[in-house]
Amino acid sequence: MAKRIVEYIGEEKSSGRGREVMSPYLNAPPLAPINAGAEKFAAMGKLGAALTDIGEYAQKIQIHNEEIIGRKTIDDFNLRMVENLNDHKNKNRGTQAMRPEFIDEAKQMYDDEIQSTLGSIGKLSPRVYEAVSRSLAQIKLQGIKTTFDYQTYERHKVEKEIIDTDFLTAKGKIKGGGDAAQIIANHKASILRTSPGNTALAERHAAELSIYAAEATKNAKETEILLELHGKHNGDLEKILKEVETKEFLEKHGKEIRQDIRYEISAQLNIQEQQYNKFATQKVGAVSVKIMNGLPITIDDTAGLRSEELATIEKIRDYQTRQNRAESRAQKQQEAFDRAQKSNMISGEIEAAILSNSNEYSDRLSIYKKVPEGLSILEANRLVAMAEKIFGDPKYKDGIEIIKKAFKDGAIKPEEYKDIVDTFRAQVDAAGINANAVKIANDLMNPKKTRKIGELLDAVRERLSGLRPDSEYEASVLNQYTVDLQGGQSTKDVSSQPKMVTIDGKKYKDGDIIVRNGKKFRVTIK
Amino acid sequence: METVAAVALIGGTAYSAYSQYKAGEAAEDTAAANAALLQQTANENEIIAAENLAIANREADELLKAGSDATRIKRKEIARLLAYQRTQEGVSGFAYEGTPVWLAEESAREGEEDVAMIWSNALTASEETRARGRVAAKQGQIISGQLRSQADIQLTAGSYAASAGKIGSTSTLLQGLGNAYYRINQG
Repeated sequence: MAKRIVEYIGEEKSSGRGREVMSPYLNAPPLAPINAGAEKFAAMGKLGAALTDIGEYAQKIQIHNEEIIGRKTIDDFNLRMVENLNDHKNKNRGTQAMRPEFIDEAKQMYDDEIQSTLGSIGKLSPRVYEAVSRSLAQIKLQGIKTTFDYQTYERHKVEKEIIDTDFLTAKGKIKGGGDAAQIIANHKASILRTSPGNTALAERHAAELSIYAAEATKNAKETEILLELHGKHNGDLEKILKEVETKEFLEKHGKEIRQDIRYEISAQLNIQEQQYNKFATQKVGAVSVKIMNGLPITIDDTAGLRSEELATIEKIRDYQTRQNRAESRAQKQQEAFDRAQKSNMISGEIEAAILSNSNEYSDRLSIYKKVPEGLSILEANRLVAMAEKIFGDPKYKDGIEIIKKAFKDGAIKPEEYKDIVDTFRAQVDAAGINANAVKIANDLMNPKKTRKIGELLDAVRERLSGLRPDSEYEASVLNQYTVDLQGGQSTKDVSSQPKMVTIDGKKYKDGDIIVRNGKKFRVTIK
Repeated sequence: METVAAVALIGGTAYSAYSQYKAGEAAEDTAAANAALLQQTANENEIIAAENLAIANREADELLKAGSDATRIKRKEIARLLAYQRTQEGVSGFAYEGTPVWLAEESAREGEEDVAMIWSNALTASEETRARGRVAAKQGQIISGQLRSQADIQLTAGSYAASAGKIGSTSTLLQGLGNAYYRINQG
């Protein structure tokens, strides 16, 4: 019901007034940015900044240019002043040392140049201008100092030359016996004239000259004493020294002079001894050379030498004599050794001939019947005889045949030649060939020769032993030859046991007697 | 070169300082303009608020008046209805159900209830409208206050910018001129 009425009212048009509507409120108006107005001045700011940059850059260029100008100004000034100073120095050469105005002139020269330079360099910034001014002032100070040092040095040089010359002159006058006091006074006055105010130098020189004068006086006196002593003792230094050491000399001349004289004489003695040593060394050396060369020594060779050196010469002579003998012995031994070498070579070649071709044996033998060079006739004959005895004796004909066969065929059949081998063995055993061979070897007195002969016999034995398989017999033969050939190439060490030999299975010692085929043989073990 | 450097250094400094100063002034002007605009908007909003309040009051008054008119009309209808009922009973002999007294009373009572309702509604609507007008006016005042605050802020910022421009330009001027003087005179 109420709603209906309200709606009715709402639709009412006759209220007397039209419906009014409330107006909406206005929002905040769009505002301009607060710095909007500043933007148009930003360009002006940038222009200002750019102008400032340009100004700074221009300023830098200006500073750079000024610094270049400044440096060049300083360099030019320096060079110019070096030349000016040299000119100034040359112009006053020889006189500047003693010219006080020399420095003042240099100073004035610097001042003029500085004023001129600073006035001509144009407008500079205060900083660069002050820097240039300072540099020029420093150059001036340095130049003045150099000039001053130079003048001082020159003056010092001149003064020193004058004073030194006067000093030496004074010394000479004192040494010449002049009045020392007067000479010293004159020298002092000269120093003070040359180098005014240099009293220290004058006093020092005066002191030196005083000492020198005293020394000169003393030296003159000591020389006089020495001359007197030499005259008195005829130059015998030992006698002079004895007198110097006396009580009288001390009382007469005082301790100091005695000491000086003693030193002087001792020095002379020392020099004398040194001179003798040099002389003796040369003499002994020359004599030694003569002794070593086997030349005779004369009286003149040893004249002036003392007994010690003469005894030394005798010792050298004895030594050289012993040395000569020893050399002679050594030479002989060397010759003997050389001969033995030769003999060895021959023995080896004989063996080689046998082993290589028995047919050449006789030819070889005929060659060695000639006396080879370096081998004594006796030794050559012994070698030849040995070979002939072994290979040429008719008693060993069968054995030789066997050996020839063996050498020729390269092998021997033991069964085929058994009888012949047995016969040959008996012949060898009975003939004492081994003893002869050893004897020859011993006579030759050479281990190498013995070895070669031993090898020759070993070769025979080896071939023979191969003909029969009798190890016991072979061993006995082996032992026998091994022992017999001691001093050569022993293959068995028997030094630690009694020396024994085994022959046909029996052992024998040294001196035992063996009877074979009615003949007696003495066993000799070496 | 020296002249170029001096002119450039001093000119550059002057330009920089002047640009800073002018930038500060421009910022202050802009801020003032902004503030004026904001103040004006605030004023307009306050006028609108007053108008809105007046509109609301007028509308409320109209509602009351309409309600009053409606009640009067309603009472006239009731009076016409009662008169019609009495007229019909006397002319035709027709009688409405119930007693005529009771019927008239009933009609009068119902009619008065409607009148009361109409008046109550009118009164309520009027008060609501007034309230709405007050709210609207308050809103306008608040918005205006905000705008005025913004205007104050603008003025303050403009003042600051102007001061900063002046200080900056002075600093730039002093520094730049000092630098230029040193460079030109000291090298």
